[in-house]
Amino acid sequence: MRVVTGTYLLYLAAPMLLLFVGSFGASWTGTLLPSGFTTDWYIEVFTDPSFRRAFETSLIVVLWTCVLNTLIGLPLAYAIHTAARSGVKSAARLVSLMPIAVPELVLAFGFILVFSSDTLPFLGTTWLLVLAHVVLTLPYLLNVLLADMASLGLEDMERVAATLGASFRNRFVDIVLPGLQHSLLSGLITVAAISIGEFQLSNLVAGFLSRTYPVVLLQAFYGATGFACAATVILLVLAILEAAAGALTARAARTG
Amino acid sequence: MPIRFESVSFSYPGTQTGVRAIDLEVEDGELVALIGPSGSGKSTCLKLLAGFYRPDHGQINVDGHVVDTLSPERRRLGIVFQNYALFPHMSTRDNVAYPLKVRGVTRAERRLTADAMLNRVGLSGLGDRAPRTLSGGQQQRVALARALIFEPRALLLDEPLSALDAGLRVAMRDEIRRVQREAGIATIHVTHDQEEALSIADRVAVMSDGEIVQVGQPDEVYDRPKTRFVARFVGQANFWQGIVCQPNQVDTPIGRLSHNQEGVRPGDKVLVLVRPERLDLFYEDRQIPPPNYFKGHVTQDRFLGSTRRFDFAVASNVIRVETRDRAAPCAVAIPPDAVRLLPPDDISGINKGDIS
Repeated sequence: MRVVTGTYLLYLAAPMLLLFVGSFGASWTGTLLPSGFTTDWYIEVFTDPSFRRAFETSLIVVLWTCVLNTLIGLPLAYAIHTAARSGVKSAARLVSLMPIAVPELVLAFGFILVFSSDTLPFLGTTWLLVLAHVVLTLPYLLNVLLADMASLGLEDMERVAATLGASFRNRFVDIVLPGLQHSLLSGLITVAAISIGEFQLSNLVAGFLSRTYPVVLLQAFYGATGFACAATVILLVLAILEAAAGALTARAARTG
Repeated sequence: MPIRFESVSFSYPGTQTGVRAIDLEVEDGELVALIGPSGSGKSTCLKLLAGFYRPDHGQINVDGHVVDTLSPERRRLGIVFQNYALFPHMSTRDNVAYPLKVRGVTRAERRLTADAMLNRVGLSGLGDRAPRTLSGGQQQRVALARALIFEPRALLLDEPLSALDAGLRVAMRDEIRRVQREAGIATIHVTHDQEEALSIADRVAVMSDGEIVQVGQPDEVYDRPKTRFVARFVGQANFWQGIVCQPNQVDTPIGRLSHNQEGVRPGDKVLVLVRPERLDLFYEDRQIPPPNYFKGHVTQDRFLGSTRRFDFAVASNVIRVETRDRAAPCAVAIPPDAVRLLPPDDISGINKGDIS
């Protein structure tokens, strides 16, 4: 059992370790491990204009994706949760989960069809990219929020608040939002993690000047190995940071 | 008259369940307990009064005004839920002060009033604690304080004690009664615990299947129940089918019983009710037997601590007896005033038949 687990973990970790080693290796051709030590690859990635631009684009897209997710996700989750009829509830749930079930390629093709038309010529803009990411990530946020709403007993608290004289606005600001702050945060971290690593949809929808980091990263694989490794490690570190932050807030939410 | 239900009916959308023709009045300072098995509609009555649902027919008055079109936040009714529903992200004091906050009371004044209220429910000094660090009984007091702080027109308690363990429950129901008396506020207390209802309520309304079957003072409901259902729900009971044979005699499977209930005629079919604690016990055979005297022997004996409950076999029948005595009797007698005649089971409803 231990051997199997160990082998599996090694299998998982080995590519990441190799990437890490490779990103500091001076030359790496044909051998199992690279030779020499250098930090040049990282400097090269940071100074490469297309990588810098992609990195900035990614950050902007992540930021707006989170903002829009919050603005859309919170009211939507609340509406689904408070919907009187269970039929409405399950329908809304199903629709909101569609983007997870539908292959991203299909989604991207849909985007291309709709937004390359003359009436909606937005293909290639950063805004469209943000929109695509929102569609892709919203279900995850909704799921987190809905699960939390159910476990918090939000309905009872809101009912009590209503009898105590709290208007809808009072209740939303004083009861609902504070109750959901932890799950909103951990949901947004998931959203950010998905958004920053998203490749399939971005690759097809992004314009030449609004490419995200993972899209540009693909180009690096055709160049020097060390450069590709360094660029990938940067993405990996970002993703790990996100995951760690997510785990920490989830724990804070449980204990807090 | 703070609270008045006037033939209120309501059914949950798409179902047959709900309440029918509810008439109920609660006076200032009065505590009325709504009791009944789960699903009998008692919580529904509370939700209608609170404004979570609107009646299909009839109307609800609070302080002489029809409230049916008002949303819950405009009814000014204090409610304590079964699970208390304290706000976990606020301190105990902020929980209690919340009704004042939404009414725009200043922070300093809120603090003063909330601390005074916490004091009243015996929680002084705990204002800064988070609700989840309090015990069940303390959380219950916080919920009570929060429901009373804005001087509501009425207090509604929805099974407020069911989450507490037995010992605490008894202490808390006296506490609730004390705080409610002090506030002098009309109160509806929903519970499925008949002992709780009988012990603290001024009046008890027994519900079954969405209707109020009987309303009365606790001893009245216990001693003079209108139906088998009410009799069973509020306590232990012996039931026998009977036929009135003479004005003061009824024939039952255990034998002929004397009773002194009026309003029955010979030939009437009745249901005979005898509370098990009303029997007289004899440890030696009587030469001159009192009325309704039965010899027999104890079959089942259940020791319950303060009382014993045993089955007393009489001919081919059984009389259930409850007593503080420890010895086994050889005979029992049913005092005629302990014999209650109810409408027989095959007549449903409460107002049919002339027995009260």
